[in-house]
Amino acid sequence: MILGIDTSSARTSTAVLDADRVVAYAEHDDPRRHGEVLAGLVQQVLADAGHPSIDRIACGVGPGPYTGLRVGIATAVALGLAWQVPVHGACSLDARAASLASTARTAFVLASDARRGEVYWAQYTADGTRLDGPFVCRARDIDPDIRDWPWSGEGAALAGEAVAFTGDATRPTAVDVARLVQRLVSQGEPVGPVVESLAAHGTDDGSTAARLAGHRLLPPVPLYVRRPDAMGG
Amino acid sequence: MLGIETSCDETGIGVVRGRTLLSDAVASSVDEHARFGGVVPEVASRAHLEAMAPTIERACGQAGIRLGDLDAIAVTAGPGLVGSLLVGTATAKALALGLGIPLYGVNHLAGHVVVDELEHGPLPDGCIALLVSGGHTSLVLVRGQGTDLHPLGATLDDAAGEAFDKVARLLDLPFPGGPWIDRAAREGAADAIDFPRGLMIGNDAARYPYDFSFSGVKSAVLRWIRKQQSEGAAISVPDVAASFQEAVVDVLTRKAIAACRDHGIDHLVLGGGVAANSRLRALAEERCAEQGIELRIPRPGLCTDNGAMIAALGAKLVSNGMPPSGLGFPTTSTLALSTVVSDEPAPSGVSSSQ
Ligand SMILES: [Zn+2]
Repeated sequence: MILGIDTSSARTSTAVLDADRVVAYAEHDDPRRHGEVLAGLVQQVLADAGHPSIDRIACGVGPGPYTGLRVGIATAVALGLAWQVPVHGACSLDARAASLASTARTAFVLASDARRGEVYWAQYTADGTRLDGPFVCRARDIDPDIRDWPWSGEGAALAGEAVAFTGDATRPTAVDVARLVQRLVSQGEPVGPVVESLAAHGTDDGSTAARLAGHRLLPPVPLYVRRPDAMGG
Repeated sequence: MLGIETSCDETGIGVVRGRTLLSDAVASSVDEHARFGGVVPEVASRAHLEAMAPTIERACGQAGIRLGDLDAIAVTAGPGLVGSLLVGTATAKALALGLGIPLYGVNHLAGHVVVDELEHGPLPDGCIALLVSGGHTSLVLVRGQGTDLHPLGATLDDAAGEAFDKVARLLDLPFPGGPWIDRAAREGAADAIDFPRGLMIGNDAARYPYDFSFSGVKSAVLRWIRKQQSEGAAISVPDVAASFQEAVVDVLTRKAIAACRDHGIDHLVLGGGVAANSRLRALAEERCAEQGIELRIPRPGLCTDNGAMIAALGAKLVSNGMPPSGLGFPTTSTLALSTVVSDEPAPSGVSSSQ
């Protein structure tokens, strides 16, 4: 059994999965209350699932507003310490893209809300493989060729007329993250690099994307795509 | 009892058994903030998350325990930087849930008071606490051996530690300024320059008997330095440091002793990073001795923010039979002194499915 957690958007969500099957799921929408609700939601899905023995934890590592993201990751890491089980991170956009890929017919862009009028975004092939990203910027500052791609996700909805919105404004969830991590682990994918440390923090110049290229299973560390002195999300 | 403290730039994890300190591990991001001349909240939050798991493991290792041996967890719920606090409270909630043990979300300032019991035994039922750091400057009437706090006064502008940082910057001394001013002052004359004492005379003193103001002395130091510079006169860093430090600790100790006298209390507890200042300790000792007040100051490592103080407070709440906080308590940057243990708001808007 795997426990999934995602706090990369205003949604706090958690799920227990048995292989691919969702055993229990709970969510709460509020951009400012991740810290208050998450532990209670985890307690609830564990109870709903009949107090299973969890042997792996999957956590969305963003990109997303940092305060909420850190609540999810700190929770996942501490549960991993308490239960002595592995904790894996996955890019929350990758996880959502993998779920969307079952219905996608062409390559697409997936975007989430970075607040302050900006979006986090990444490009995917039709089968959900990340081509480039994640990046953060205002939608209208993106290359017009890329804006003409089909755009999905909450960030695409917020970008308005700047992008070719598909109408799918879904946020990443714990189910998306748990499924992706489950699949990558079973495929024997190696854990990718620790993308950010305090000394080598991310910038929005594309270096986060460059270091992430080809890596989908990540350590439980936030994807910081802004410098700390440029303020958190 | 495991204590987790992340209200500012220190990731503190401590383990206590009753009043016995088993371990106290601290990871600080102070060096990361030095180039900004103050604590940058986003930098502090990043550092807390990075340091959390290794610091917990270090604290357990030093205490010779496993996480599974813990009976309860306490964590700072406020006051402090909310992004930093959230890393600690999320961690504590998950540990409590994962281990199936009770959790106490506690007041940071009460931790600064109760930590003294680890070194000097039980607190008396009534004492006055002077809590001074870069984030807080409070005079508190403490009842119930540290679990019942009544605010008497606080700073109206800068915290005491903040004033040290700002004056250190004027003197080209590094951040954090407290230890550097303390060191420089040892070579200087405390009476070289007569810097103002805030809220000590006349109407201000009557209206704000237990409050503090340090912006005046800070501005006076700036004006004095400018004047010397414009006259081409030499500036003695030790003399400025000593005179400034004397102005601050004179006010702190006089008001603390007045609070003891006015409330008929004969115990004074010092806590917070500024309580590590050697001149504050010396002057408080001298004045308490004159007044027949027993002074209690934890060793410097327990005055600065640490996890042991939170664990000590948690252990005390357990022994007093206080109910735990649950998992839903809020993390509050401005948590009131009267709230020693956080309680849980009713969750709303949760949707679930099986
Ligand atoms: Zn403090």
